[in-house]
Amino acid sequence: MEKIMKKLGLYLGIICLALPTFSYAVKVGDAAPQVSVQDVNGKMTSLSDYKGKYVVLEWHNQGCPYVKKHYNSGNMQSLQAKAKELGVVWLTVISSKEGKQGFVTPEQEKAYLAEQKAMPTDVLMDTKSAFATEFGAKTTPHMYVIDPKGVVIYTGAIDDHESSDPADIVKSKNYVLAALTESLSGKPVSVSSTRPYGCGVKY
Amino acid sequence: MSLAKYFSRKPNRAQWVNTFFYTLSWGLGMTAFWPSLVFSGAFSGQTSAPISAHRPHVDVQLMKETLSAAPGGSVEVGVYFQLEKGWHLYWKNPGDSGEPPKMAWSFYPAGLGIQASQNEWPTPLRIETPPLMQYGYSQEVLLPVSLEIPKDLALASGEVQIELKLHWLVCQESCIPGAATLGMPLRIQAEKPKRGPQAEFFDEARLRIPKRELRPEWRLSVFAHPHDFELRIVDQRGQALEFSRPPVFFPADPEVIENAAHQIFSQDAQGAKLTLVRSEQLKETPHEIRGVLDTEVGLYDVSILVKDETSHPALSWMEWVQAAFFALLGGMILNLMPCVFPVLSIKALSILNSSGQSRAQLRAGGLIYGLGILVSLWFFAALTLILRGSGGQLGWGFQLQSPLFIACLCLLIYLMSLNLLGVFEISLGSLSGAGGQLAQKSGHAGSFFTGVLAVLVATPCTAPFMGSAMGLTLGQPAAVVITVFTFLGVGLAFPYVLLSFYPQLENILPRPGRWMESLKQFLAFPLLATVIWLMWIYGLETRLEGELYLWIALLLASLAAWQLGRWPGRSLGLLSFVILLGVSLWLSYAGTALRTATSATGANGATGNGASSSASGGAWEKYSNSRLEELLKAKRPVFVDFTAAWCVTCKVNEHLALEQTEVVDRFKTMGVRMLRGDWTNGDPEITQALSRFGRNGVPLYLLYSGKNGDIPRVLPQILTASGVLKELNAIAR
Repeated sequence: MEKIMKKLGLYLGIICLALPTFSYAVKVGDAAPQVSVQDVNGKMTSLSDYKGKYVVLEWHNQGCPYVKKHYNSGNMQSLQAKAKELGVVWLTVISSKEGKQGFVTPEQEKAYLAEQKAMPTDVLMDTKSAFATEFGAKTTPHMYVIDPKGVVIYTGAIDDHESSDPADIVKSKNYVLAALTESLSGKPVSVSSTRPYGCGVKY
Repeated sequence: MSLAKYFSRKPNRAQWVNTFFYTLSWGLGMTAFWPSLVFSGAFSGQTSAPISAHRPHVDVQLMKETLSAAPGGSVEVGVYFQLEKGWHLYWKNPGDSGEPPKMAWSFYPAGLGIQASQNEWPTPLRIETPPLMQYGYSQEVLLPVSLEIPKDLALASGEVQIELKLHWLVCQESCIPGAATLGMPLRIQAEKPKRGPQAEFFDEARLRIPKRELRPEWRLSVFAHPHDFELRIVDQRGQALEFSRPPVFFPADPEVIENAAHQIFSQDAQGAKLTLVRSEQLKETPHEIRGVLDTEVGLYDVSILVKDETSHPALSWMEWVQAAFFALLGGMILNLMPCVFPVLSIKALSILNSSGQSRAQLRAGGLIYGLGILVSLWFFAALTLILRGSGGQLGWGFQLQSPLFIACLCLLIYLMSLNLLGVFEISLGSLSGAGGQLAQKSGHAGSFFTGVLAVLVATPCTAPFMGSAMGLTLGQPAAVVITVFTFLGVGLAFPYVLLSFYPQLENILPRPGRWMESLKQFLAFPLLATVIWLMWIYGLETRLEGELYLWIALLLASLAAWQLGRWPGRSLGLLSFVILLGVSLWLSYAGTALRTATSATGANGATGNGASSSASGGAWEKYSNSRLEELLKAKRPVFVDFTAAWCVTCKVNEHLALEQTEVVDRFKTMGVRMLRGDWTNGDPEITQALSRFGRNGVPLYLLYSGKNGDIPRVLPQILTASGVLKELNAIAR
């Protein structure tokens, strides 16, 4: 009998292997991580500043053809305008580390915003990729929608056409807009997690 | 690309081929005024699209394996990408970012009925840009396509025009999309097609194209765990697999595995194992895992059915047999309990007295009694599984790292030992009565219910065993729960079934008597030993105060048990039992609250004692990422032991392998630095280190050779001294 106990103890020891693992990618249903990062005006900003509001995060790299697809066509700007109309906060996040492709200074970014007529609520200059690391952002663009409670309700691609061809935008279903519309009308988000497409975030 | 730059690049075969034809056409043109038009015309025909194109960082070119194609046959054509150094193109599953090339074929004149297959994808490379991982190609790659030529194809010109619209993405740090329309002619003639100058490119591409048939002697399986997939490669002939380089798995589907996670490779006598970390974004376990298995003996396109083992690693065959054996033994011992043995004796007597029954009837009766026992035990197994299932949903951790679970298990087993000692009794009251009546029925129904009775009505004696078994198997895979209870049942039924087959054995049965009560009481002590073991683990995970809470909880439980036994059958007694037990449970819970404080303050202090005090000769250093990096930078061989006080396997390994003199000596002579990570309290730095190797638990043993850019060897979870020495020899080479 003692042997049984000992044996069972051993099994239990082996079974201890199945313990929760360390996880770094944010999933739908998770609380959005709270990281402070400088914005384009040099002010420390974190998601807690926007608690009580819907927030859209857009991972951005102005040199990436997939980002260009949505900016040069005006698609991203019109999405930002719609978000504004709906009272949704739009944060553009630039996570290219200093020295890496896509890194821009606040001045360069301001010039870009003016030229593109882009209207995000704010731009986060995530020069140490800390914000991207917390979220596990993979691509530019990589989109997240966070509800007023601070819970992630959408993560993934901007739309369902994985390409850098602006001609595809017309026939695409925009997942971010769909998630916002559904959630704002009290419905659960039907497509809440997709595979993001684009260039890699330059960690 | 300038001509100078073109020649300054390391020429590969495509360039040689091109150069050859350029030189040839130039030479011919010069000597015979043969316009190069004629020559290039022979290669590019009337198409307006060029056969090749230079684009930023990549050159693309159409190729064909044979100079012509025969009607009714097929021909291999393809597009060849030549990439500038540092730039890469993507595989069909690009990984964390990127996009695979897309191609659309057309043939002129239109309507010939030529069919282009999907292109083949040569096995890609892992392109790391931490923390991301892409799958793709660097330098050069040919993506071949097979064209089916209709039987009745006849053309006046004798050739068709092939056109390819191609889109791709190349990335280095930045990404650049590219597009080209390429064209080339293809002769259609009945005679046997001759291999062309580019045939070698196709031969080489084929070497990298995964085979659809696996090696016949291999068997692949995938086990799904909560945080990873375990891909096993087993040789069906039972031969050991020896890989000198770890196989790599490329998933065909996105977001099934964490692309960037290290694919942990280990091999043992049962075969080889690749652990793939499950993607965070994966909601449901897929039915099958598809992808390419890249091994040193071949590349295989595989799709493997997933076996779901929702929460636990697969037990080896030996562990099964052990679990079954000890459960069987336990079941047989149960027969000697004072409340079970008389049942057995009565039945045995009834066999002797049943002169009216035929042997066959007796045997049938015996087997049905066994079935009754098994059914009742399966009821307990089901109860355990339901409890476990609902616990899982509620997020309870039935694991030894959860102090609350340990405290509850401790209380349960303590109460069970008090019960065996006779402090109190568990009775099911009227249910037993009903069972008794059922058991008195004659015939098969009677036999069946006697079996049920042996389990249920004998609760006062069996409860400590059922309760302990339920508690101890609560954290186990479903299959273990069922095995343990089934074999407990087989063991319990065994003597009687044996008697019904050989009634003469009754003579050697001992007579019931006081010895049974003594045995029952004695068996409380192994349970009390288990309580000590659990208390020890609990103490390691909480502070001393935490353990004090559990002591008090046990005292209250004793009080509750005592008063229930002293004044049995009173509702007041039962009520106070429940209340006292509730308070004990609360105390165990309160004790666990002290745990967080511990991990913050005692990371390398008192709590580490359990794991490191057994270390040999003080050669062990405390593990930290920075210390490991420092040692690796200094090119020292390093052995890392991730362990925990509650991990019995770790303790066994330490004792049987790591502390053996020959191993200790070899570590010393080789100058291997030894780092020990104590995960008793779930130190987050170690959790992170474990997850880098796709693990979510201990033990994990790593051996770094100390050579540059070396991937550590992952040792098996069950260590032997000779195994460790073998690994050390391997890095010494």
